[in-house]
Order: sequence, then C-alpha cells, then structure tokens
Amino acid sequence: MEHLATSSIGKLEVFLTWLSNPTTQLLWLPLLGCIFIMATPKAQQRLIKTWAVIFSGLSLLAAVLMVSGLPKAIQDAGIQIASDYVWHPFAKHLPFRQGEAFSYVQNYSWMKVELGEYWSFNVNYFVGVDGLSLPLIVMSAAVIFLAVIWALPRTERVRDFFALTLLMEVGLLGVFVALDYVLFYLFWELMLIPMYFLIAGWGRDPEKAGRAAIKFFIYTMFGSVFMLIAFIAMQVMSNVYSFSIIGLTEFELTGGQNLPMLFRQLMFIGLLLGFAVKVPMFPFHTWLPDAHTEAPTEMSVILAAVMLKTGSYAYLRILYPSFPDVAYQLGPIIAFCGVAAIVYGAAITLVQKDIKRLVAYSSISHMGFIVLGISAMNPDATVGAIFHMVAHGVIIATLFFMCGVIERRYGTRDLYEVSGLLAGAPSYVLPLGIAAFAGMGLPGLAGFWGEFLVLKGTFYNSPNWMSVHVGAIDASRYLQIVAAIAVIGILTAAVYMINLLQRVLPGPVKANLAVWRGFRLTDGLALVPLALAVIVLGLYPAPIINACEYYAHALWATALRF
Amino acid sequence: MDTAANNQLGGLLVAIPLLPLAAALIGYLLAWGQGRLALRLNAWLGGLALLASGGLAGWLLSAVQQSQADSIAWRVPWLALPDAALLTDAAGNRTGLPVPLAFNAGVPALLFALTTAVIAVVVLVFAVRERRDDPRRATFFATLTLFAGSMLLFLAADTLLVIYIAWELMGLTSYLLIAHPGTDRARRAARQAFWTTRATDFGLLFAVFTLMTVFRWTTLSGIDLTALLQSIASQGGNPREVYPWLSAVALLVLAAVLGKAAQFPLSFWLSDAMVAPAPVSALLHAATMVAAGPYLLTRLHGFFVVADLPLLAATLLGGLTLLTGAIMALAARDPKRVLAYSTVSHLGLVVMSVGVLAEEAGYYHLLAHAWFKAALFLGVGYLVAVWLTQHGGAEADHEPPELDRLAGFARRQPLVLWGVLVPAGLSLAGLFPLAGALGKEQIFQALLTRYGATPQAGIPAIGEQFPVAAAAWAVGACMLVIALPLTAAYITRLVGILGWGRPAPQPPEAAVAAVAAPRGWGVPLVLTTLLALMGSVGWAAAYFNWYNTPAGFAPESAAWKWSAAGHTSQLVSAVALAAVLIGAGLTWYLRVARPQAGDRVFREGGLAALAAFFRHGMYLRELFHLVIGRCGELLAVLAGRADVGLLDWLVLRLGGLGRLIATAARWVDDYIVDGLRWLACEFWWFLKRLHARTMQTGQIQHYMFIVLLGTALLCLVILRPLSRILADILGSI
Repeated sequence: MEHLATSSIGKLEVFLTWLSNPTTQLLWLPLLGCIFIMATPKAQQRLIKTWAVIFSGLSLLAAVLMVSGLPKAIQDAGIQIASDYVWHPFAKHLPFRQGEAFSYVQNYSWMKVELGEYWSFNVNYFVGVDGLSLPLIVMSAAVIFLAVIWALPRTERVRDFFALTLLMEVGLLGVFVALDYVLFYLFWELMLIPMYFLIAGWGRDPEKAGRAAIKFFIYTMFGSVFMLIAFIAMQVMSNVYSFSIIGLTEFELTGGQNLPMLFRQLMFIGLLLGFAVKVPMFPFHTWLPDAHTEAPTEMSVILAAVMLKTGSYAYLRILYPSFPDVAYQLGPIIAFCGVAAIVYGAAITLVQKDIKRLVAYSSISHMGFIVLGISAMNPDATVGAIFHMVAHGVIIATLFFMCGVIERRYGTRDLYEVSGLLAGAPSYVLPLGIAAFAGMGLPGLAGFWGEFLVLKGTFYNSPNWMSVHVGAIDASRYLQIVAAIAVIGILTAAVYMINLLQRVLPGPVKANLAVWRGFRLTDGLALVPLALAVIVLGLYPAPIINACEYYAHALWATALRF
Repeated sequence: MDTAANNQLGGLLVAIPLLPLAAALIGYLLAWGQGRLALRLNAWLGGLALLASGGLAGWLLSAVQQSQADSIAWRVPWLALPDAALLTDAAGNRTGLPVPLAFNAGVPALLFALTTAVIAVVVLVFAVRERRDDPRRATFFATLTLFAGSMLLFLAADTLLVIYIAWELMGLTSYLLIAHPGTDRARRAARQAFWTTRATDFGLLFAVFTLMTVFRWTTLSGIDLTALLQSIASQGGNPREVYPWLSAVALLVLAAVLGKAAQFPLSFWLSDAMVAPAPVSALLHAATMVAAGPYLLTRLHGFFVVADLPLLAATLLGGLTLLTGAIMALAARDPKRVLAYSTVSHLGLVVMSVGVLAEEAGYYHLLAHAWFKAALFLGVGYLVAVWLTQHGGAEADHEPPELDRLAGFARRQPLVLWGVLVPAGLSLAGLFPLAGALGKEQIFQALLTRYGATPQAGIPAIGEQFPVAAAAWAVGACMLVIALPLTAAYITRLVGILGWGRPAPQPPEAAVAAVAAPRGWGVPLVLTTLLALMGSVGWAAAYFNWYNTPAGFAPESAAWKWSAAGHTSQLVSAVALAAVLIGAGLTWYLRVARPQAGDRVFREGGLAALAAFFRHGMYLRELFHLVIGRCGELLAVLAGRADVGLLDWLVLRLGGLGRLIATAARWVDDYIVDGLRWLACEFWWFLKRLHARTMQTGQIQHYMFIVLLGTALLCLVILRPLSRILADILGSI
C-alpha cells in the first residue's frame, strides 16, 4: 500500500497523480481558496464570497466523489470484496470489509530528519481515508460549506473572515485524513489558530469574546502539548523510522508490549489529555460553554459539529487501536467520565438561561455518549459512537443555526424573554422542532441510532470486561450500571428540549430589534439540507453503519487479543 | 422466521399505516403553504385515508380468515446492525445482525387496526364540527391523522425497532395534541404526559435490546419461545437458564406499559391530559396510545409465563390500577376525568388478564373498551361543547364544567342520552350480556380457576409451577370483585347525573342565554351512536361467535396458550351481575335519586376527606413532582453552580498558578538577573570613579600584571571553595 514516488516517474507525473487524488482536492482546495481570497481586494465582497462558496463547495464535492468513487478505488488498491457479501444493495459498494482498510492513500516522503545517530526519522505526507474517517469527512465538509453559505450576508471584515474559515477547513479535514503523526499534529494546531481569531474577532462582545477565545486556545494548547510529548515518546521508543500512525500502532500492539506498563500508561494518558480537552470529555469541558456563548453563529456550528469530532476521532484513530490493554485498565474511569458528562451536562443544561449556552451544554452531554460508546470497546458501541459523531454534527449544527436565527430575531438569547417564534418566524419552526426532537433521541430521527447502539453495546458489552474489576464488581456489570444511568441523560434531554420549545415557540412575539427582515434565503439553503439529513439518517442509517462497521469490528478483534 | 412468506397482500398491509401517514404529511405541507385550502381539505384528506386504511384492514381480515395463513407479511432489507457475536454469512464475511423492514399482521392486529381506523374516522368527523371555530384546526386535523397513522404503524409493523419508532411517534403526536389548546395548563399537561411516558419508554427500548442482542430476534413474528426452548433442550442445555432473560423482557415491557397506559402509580398524566379537546381524548384513550401498551402485552404474553415475578407484577399492578382507577373515577368531579380514570381502570384489567394468562379475554376487553369508551368521550364532549356554547363560554375559559353544573343536561338531548350514554355506559358497567361484561367475566373466571388448570400434556399444573403468582391471582380476584360494583357506580353516577340529575341552581349572572341548539352535529352524533352500539351489542354478538369458532382468533404461539376456551360459568356471571347491580343501584339512590343523602355521606360525612384524597388523584402527581421534579431541579441547580464555581474555578486557578509562576519569574528577571547587570554597571562606574583610566598605560607588562592579579583573585574566590567541596565529596566516597 505504500506508493512512494520513485525516480523513474517524472516529477510532473507524480504531481498529476497527486493532484488527481480526491484527498488532495478535499484538503488543498480550501487553501487555494484562502489564497485567492487573500489576493482579492477587500472591497470586492461579492467576489470574496464567491471564492469562499466555490472552494468550500469544491471540497465538499471532492468528499462526495470520494464516496462515489470508492468501488474503483478499492479495485485499484486490490482489495477483495465478496460480491455476495450481504443482501444490502449499498453494502456491495462499501469497501471497508476486507484487507487493508485505507483507500485514496498517498504516501510521499516529505523530509528526512537526522538528529545524531540516535534519533532519525522520516516525515511522510501520508494520507488516506477509511470507514471511520469517511463519514466524518463528508459531514464536516458539508457543515463547513453550509456555514459558509450561512455567513454570506456578513458585511464586516469579510475577507479575513472567509480566508480564516477556509484555512481552518484545511486543518479540520486534514486531521481526518492524516496518517502521519507530524502531519496530524500540524493539522491539529492549524485548525486552532484561525478559530481563535474567528471567535475573538467576530464575537458578539469583543472583550468577552477575546477572553473566551484565549481560554479555548490555551486550554486546547495545554492538552496538545501532552499529546505531542506522547507522539514523540511513541516514536522514540519504537523501532519505526517514521511517524506513521499505522506503523506506530502496529508497533504498540507488538513490540511495544515489552515496554514498561507505567510508560505505556503515561503515553496513553498524555494522548488522552490532548484529545479529551478537544472532545471535551468531563471534566475538561469548561472552555466549551464560554467559547460557544461568545463565538459567532457559524463558528459555533463548526466548533460543535466538526472540531469536537476531531477529538473523538483521535480516540478511535490513535488511542484505542494503539493501547487496547491500557484502555481496558482505564476503561472504567473513561466510561465514568462519559456518563458523568451525559448526566451532569444534561443537568446543567436544565438551568441555562442563555439559549446558546443551553445548546452548548447539551452538546457536552451528547459528546458524553460518544466517549461512553468508545470506552465500551465493543462493535455496537463503537459504531454507535461513530454514528453519533455524524448525527450529532448535523443536529447540533441545526440547533446553533437556530440560535443565530433567534438572536437575530429577538436581539437576545435569554430563554425567558424569547417567545412567539411560531408567530414571528414560522419558517424556522420546523428545523428547530426537528433538531430538538432529534436531540432528545426520538427514534426515526438521526439522534436515535447513535444513542441506541451505544446503550446496546455498553449494556451488552464484551466478555473481556469480566477480567477488569471495579471495586467489588467486574467491569462488565459496571458498564451495565453505567448504561442504565446514561438513560437519565436522554430523559433529561427530553426535559430541556421540551422546555426550550415551549418557551420559544408559542406566545406573543417580543421583538426587541427592528432589524428582522424575515426569512433569509441563505438560512434556508443551510437549514433545509441539515433538517433533511436529520430525517434521512434517522430513517435509513444503513450507509453510515455499513461504512464504519468494518473498522469497529477490526478494532474489536484487535482488542479481544488483550 | 420466514414461515409467512411475502405474499401479494403484503403491499396492502403496508398501505394501512402509510396512507394516513402520507395524508398527515400532505396536510402539514398544506397547512404550511396554503392555509385556507388546508382548513377545508385536511380533515377530508385524513378521513379518507383512514377510511381506506379501515377498508383495507377489514378486507385483509376476511382474506386472512379465509386463507390458511396465520398472517400477512411484507419485508425488505433495512439495516445490518453491528453485533458483538461477529455473525458471518456462508462466504465467511461479517454480516452484522440483519434487521429487515417488516410488516406482519394476523387477526388480532388487523382487528385492532380496523377498530382504530373506524374510531379515528368518527373522531375526525366529530372534530370537524367541534373545532369549527379553531383557527389552527388545519394542523390539528393533520396531527390527529398522524396520531391514528402511527397507531396503525404500531399495529402493522413487525420489526421491533419500527414498533418502537411508532410507539415514540405516538408519544410525540399525543404531546402535540394535548398541547393544542395552547393554554399554560394544556402545555403543562402535555409536557407532563410526554416526560412520564418517555421515561418509561426506556423499558421497551431495553426489552428490544435484549430481544435483539440475547436472542437475535428482530421481528415480533420472529419471536418463537417454543422453538427457543426446544433448541436449548435439544442441545443438552437447561431451558430454565434463559428464564431470567425472558422474565426480564416481560418486566421491561410491563414497565413501559405502566407509563404509556397510565397504570398505577403513573396514572396522573392521563387525567391531566383531559385538557385536550374531546376528539383527542377519544382517540387517545380508545384505540391509540394508551391502548397500545396493553395490546403489546397481550402479544408478548409468552414472556410472562416463565416465572412468578412477571405474573405477580402484572396481576397486582393491573389489579391495583383497576381498583384505584375505579375509586378515583368515582371521586372525580370533571366528567372527562371520570372517563379518564375509567380508562386507567379498564386497562388495568387488561394488564391483569396478561398476569393471569387470560390474554385473549384481555384482548377482547380492550377491543370492546375501545368502542364504548370512544363513544362516551364523544358523547360527553358533545354535551360539554353545547353547554359551553349556550353559556357563552366557548373556549373562553378552558375550564370544563364540573359534573354538577351539567346535571340533567343530557335529558334535553335524547339521541345522546339514549343512543350513546346509556348503551355505552351499561356496557362499561359490565352488565351481562353486553360486550363490556364478557371479557371481564372471562378474566374473573381465570383468576378463580387458573390455579388448578392442567392445560397441556407435559406441562405441570400452573398452580404447582407458580405458587406465588397463584396467591396473587386470589388477591386479584378480590380486587376485581370490589372493582366491579365500583365501576358500575361511577358510570351510573356519570350517566345518571348527566341524564336525570337535578340541575344546580344557576347563579343569576350566568343565566342561560336562549341559544338555539347548535347545528351541524347530526352526522357526528349518529356515527357516535354507532360506536356505542358496537361497543355494547355489536361486540357482544361477535364474542359469542368468536368463542364458538376458535379458528377465528389465531393464536401466535399455541404452546403458550392456556386460555380457557368456552363461556364463563353461570356462577361467575351471576356473581358479577349481582356486584354490578348492587353498585349501580346504590349509586343511583345516593347520587341521582336522593342526592342529599349522598351529599351527607360524601361531602359532609366521614368519607369527605377520603373522597377529596381520591379526587386529587391520590396526590400522586404532587408526589412525583416533589420527588422527581423538585429534586431534579435542585440537583440541576447544584450541578450548574458546581460547573462554574468548582470546575471552571479550578481551571482558572490553574491558569492563575501559571500566572503566579510568571510573576515569580518576572521578579527573578527584574531583580536577580537584571540586578546582576546593575551590579556590573555599578562596579564599572565605581572603577570609573577610581579614575581607572589612569591604568590604561599602554604598556603590556601592566596589563599582564592585572590579568595575573585577576586570575589569582578568581582562584581565591571560586576555586578554593570549589576544591574544598570536591575534596569533601571525594573524602566521603
């Protein structure tokens, strides 16, 4: 699967091969857009917006082409698919079943670093997608594209705004495709910096926004320092001469087993810290409500729908495949953090007065489900967690867009002052209703399947947990208790969502601002696809479940060995 | 699993729920885009769709009865859920657990679907007249159609997950319908209903988990307990090992039914939901959401037969609900609340029937109840609507009039009194041989005789197998005997006061305006009369036909059926009849004929406090609000405080720690590092003051001398102590 560029091929040819790969298009077209925007004069706002739409749209197109081009890509990669695999019409085209899981792989040598005789390594431009990352890539590209569309009516500092957004898109999508730790770390930090400027520069209240952005930035940086140390430690202690995620994962599962347990645990905790802040996992979540409250609508959407998922994605891409044995040891603690986020986050959501803060805390609660699903280490729960990443992205994007609508309509986000959306902005009621009901996990909507599978997988977990003990009981029973407690979170979701709907929808319109100009086309263009996606994913979750199922089974089969 | 192959009729089965669901969707779109058109069209759309569904259900019912097949089925692939057992197909590929999108309906489902569709059509016709002045009636009709459609989906669906989806869809639509009046009270009742039912729905969800994960049953028709136990036995295992799982499923489903069917102690949400318009109540109680739970229990009765605990729980919870519901209905003042508690009580009886393995009788009672209860709700709803119009308070104050203020009101409406209230009321009271009595007597008989029954060869007598449950059945029989006269009493009170009560003296300001009888009620009332007649006489006729031809009711799994075939014994019928007559006669005397005597007992006498206790629904609502609502609120506030005051504080203090270190570093930088520089400068100035320039002689030997001097100084200052330290270290070694 290594396609190293050899000298026999001309450089142009290498370049063209590189260019024709959809991963390239996905990743670097937004950067090209960013450059185009920066080269456009500030005053030409229409042109700037056109560039932004075109390039983020092209990136989304590349993501869609990735899905549709899969059968051929798999054939090219020589992966065998049984034609009579399952009865499912879609499933035949889904690749992630047998053999090596990654498609659209590119592996070019980037630099060789030699630091004395003891430490030398290759840094490769190593990217590819698999069943774990593909659903997330499509969701992310779509949400960012819709956020760009939503932002089109903006008039203040447009050039900077869109340039930074597209730059951030490179980082966000890059994390999902990177298969090299150096590359991963670069993208990981690349998404952080534009987000800092976007929150600080376009927030509602400049002073508060600045403070929230600093908090977000420093907190995340704090986590990623430990992550970086763990990356380096993993590579230094291995016999792998590159920072390849795949290679190092394989090492950790084989030769790495001889390393001292304490050392492995420390590496696990370092990685965990880096990712947990991003997710955010309880108790590292306090940056999130502040950042959301102050961020502009589009950035709240991208932050909640995409950026948080990079954290949970990293759990599944790096942490759990590399250290399944440590994950079993620390599993009860992580599961506790997950369920604590679910229940505690939901409880806090109940008492929020600011609608945006309410949605932000509900997001913490839902991310708790993802953490719980990952920590259960069982294919059902893992698939549930991945599905919930996508579903939560779509739902939370709708909800944050609606927060933007409410703020524009009423000039306030105070839950006790907003009322009468039913009479005041009837076109927006349906998306809000769909997203709110999906947020409480009603079946038939997207929010259901993730929670369903996570609960199912956590409750009926794998026999491996029997050998882990939590106090007097084994971890299998412990996880069952945890799953039962997690139900409280879903129930509380029904309480706060119904409270939200009943306060916002009925009653007289209390319009505090006169700037409301009714329905905006761009809102519709952003909200309709999202609401449709919530329904479609709810009724037909098969594509995503099929896509990530192989990954989940492979992970679990690996974990079973420990 | 695939015994019922796809047949040509399957597509029609899918159409039964699909038609109303599609009509509701179109209705919503119309209401959104074309408000005026929707006002005219939505009720027609929904009504026609439901009528078509009812027709299809009836036709399929006759087709099933004529054919050899148990049921009609339709299925397509839908999902492959990941499964920890790593299921593989023949080629060795992982497949996951295939979950089809399946529909399957035998006689019970089709019969119930027919009932639901017909009642929904009548309710819609009634609603068209009742909601004539409601500006938001377009969405109301669409939601009503959706409500009935989701019940039809629940009945026709075979996939457990789809059943769960329909179950939740009913919860959602009932929320919308209860909240429809738009008042604070309605909204409060709606969210209370939604939260209560949503909380218990997790019972069904976990039951579905268990069925899918432990047994790999993804469809209702795929559940085959006999085959499971046989296969375990044939592999040398002990079938009793799966009994805990089976009873867990039974208890989980029972928990779900507890909330959805408003069983004790969760009965409060249903009585509060009475703020909804009468058509909603009629549909909610009779043939949709509330009845869905007991229906599911009768379908899953096999899971109850494995242990004492599920049987005991169903019998006692059902019996308790039966009893308390009847008492609360007797104490309630609002006529709609009387009917609400009556529903609770009747459904408790159905739950009890599952606990005593008389699920067939329970199912029959559920059907009969659907018809007469819908008729009663519509009849009372009509009276209330007319009363409100005549008193100029139509929708002005959403407080429904109390029973006393409606006293004697029905006497001026003979069609309602004699066509609806009396036949449906008599049936509800359980007067032999009306429909409401027959199922009840079967259950009564089962409670009395089930103990010693030896139903089938090879299976021990139930009394030996379930000693604890058998004791519960005795308790249940006592509860039923007490509940029989109480049931007769509350319905006699309701119908008696409505029909023959002496009107209370009106306050002068609320003098009845001479309003002509409102028009346009003819068709709805006639249809309601038909419901009442079906609920009393029609189903009674069906009953005798039913038990005479056992083939008419196809059992799902014959091995698990212990229902006593045939009619009830005459002794049981006589006892029941006597109980009913005593209850009805006493009530007639105390509340209708001599209300003063009754007032002395219930309003002033020793029973007043007790009556108030039951009138307030045994304060169950207050209890749950206190325990769950207030405590939850407190915890939430605490959590909110803790997040900002503790966690965020810690994070900020950690940042503060960094700041502290930075301040310390700055101090070091300012005073130590910079101080050294300052010292050097000062030294330089000192030297300068010494006229160091005079040292610049330009002669090399002077310079060398200074260097030598400096080196010596350095040796003295630094190297001597250093060497001493070194010597110490070496010496210590």
